[in-house]
Parts: sequence; structure tokens; C-alpha cells
Amino acid sequence: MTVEAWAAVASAIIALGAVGVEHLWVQRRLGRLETANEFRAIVEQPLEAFEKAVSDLAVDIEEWGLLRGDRDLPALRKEWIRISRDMNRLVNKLAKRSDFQPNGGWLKVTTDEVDEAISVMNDEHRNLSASTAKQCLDRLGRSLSAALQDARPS
Amino acid sequence: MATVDLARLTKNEVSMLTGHERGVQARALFSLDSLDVQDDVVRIVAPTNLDTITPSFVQGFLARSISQLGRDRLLTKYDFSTLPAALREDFVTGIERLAMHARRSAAIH
Repeated sequence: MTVEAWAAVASAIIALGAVGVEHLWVQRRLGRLETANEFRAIVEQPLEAFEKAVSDLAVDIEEWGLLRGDRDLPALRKEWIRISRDMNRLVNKLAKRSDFQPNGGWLKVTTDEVDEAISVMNDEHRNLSASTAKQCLDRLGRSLSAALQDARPS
Repeated sequence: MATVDLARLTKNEVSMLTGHERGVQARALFSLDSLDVQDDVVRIVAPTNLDTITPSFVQGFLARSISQLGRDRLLTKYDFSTLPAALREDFVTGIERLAMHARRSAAIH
């Protein structure tokens, strides 16, 4: 074979290699994008919605404790029960996945503390019981944020 | 058929059943350990003013049953069909949580 022919073969091999590398790079980028989009839809958006709902309820409960606001205790309880049910359903769903796991798993995110605080809220100790429930809701909000951070794909 | 009436716990005063420890106490009150070894189906009924049963309560209430019977047998042993849909779902959520804990600890050991 002539030198020119060898050079042509070498260039063809290099060109093929470059195409292969580029293909792998694109695949990897697409894979990452897919994971990021999936994470956003399955984990991030629902948890951000819960964080907002929890924080809104904390404000409403604080208002109730200060004899302000227009929501009564049964309405606040009902709202918490709705949030809690939806959140527990999502936490169970996420705990079944092997990807998107925060350190220690989703099962560590529990509504127990808030359940307890809201179940004992009463008119007699309105300010104190509202303030306790608000603190528990704030803690739950922080633990949701932390779990979200831990689970975020790199 | 045996019946577990949750009204014995709520006494028309409580609308939320919460807490693992309270679940464990309720389990003792209704003698679920002995009901679990009998052939009878156990029907769970609830008063109309009960709004929610939290996963932690369910976990305290049924943890020993799930380790005794397993998830599937537990779901046939206990009859939740007369409960309102929301309370039925509360039980299912708690039972799923128990089953996941059991799977995780089995995977670790």
C-alpha cells in the first residue's frame, strides 16, 4: 500500500473514532438531561409544592393562634390532613425508587411531629398550641428541603 | 368475624388517631396479638367523626401483625371495606410504610 493509502486509512479511523466519542458524549449529556427532567417532574416539583403548602399552613396557624385570620381550627386540621395524606403517598412512592434517594431514604421524612402537634391544638391554649404546631411545620419544611438537596442528581 | 371498633379510642372526642405509641396501646386494647393467631377475619370499623389515622399510628397498631402474617395475609385478615375511602387509604399508606421498613431491614441483615 502506498503512503497516501495508509494516510487515508488512518484519517478514516481517526474520523470514525471522533464520531464515536462525540456520539457517546451526546448520549451521556442526553442521559443526564433525561434524569434531570425526570427528577424535576417526579421529585422537585411535588416537593416544592408541599414546601409551599406547609409554609402557607404555618402562617395560617400562626394567625389563628394570634386570634387573626379567617380560618377556624377544623378547617386548619382538614387542610393539614389533606397535605399529610398527599405527602405520605408521595414519600412512599419515592421510597420505592432506587434512584433519587436522599441519604438515609425518604422514609425519614415523616409527618409524625406535625400530626401530633395539630391533633392537640385547642382553643384553651390557642397561642401556645399554634406556636408549637408552627415550629413543627417549619421543621418539616426544612427536612423536606434537606431531603430534596440530598436526592438531587449530580 | 371479630370487630375492632375504633370508637373505643376516639370516645367522640378525638378526630385524629396519631402516634406510634398510641397505636401500640390500641393494639393491646383490642388484643390484636391473639386475634392474629385465630382464623377469623377482623373487621375494622370507625366512627363517623374520625377524620384521619396517621401512618405512625397504623405502624404501631399493625407492626406485629405484618411481621406475624406478612403484608398480603394481613390485607386479607383485616377487613377495611366498611371504612370511608380516606381512612382505608390511611391504613394502606401505613401498611405500605411497614412493608418497606421490613424489606429494608431484611436487605440490611
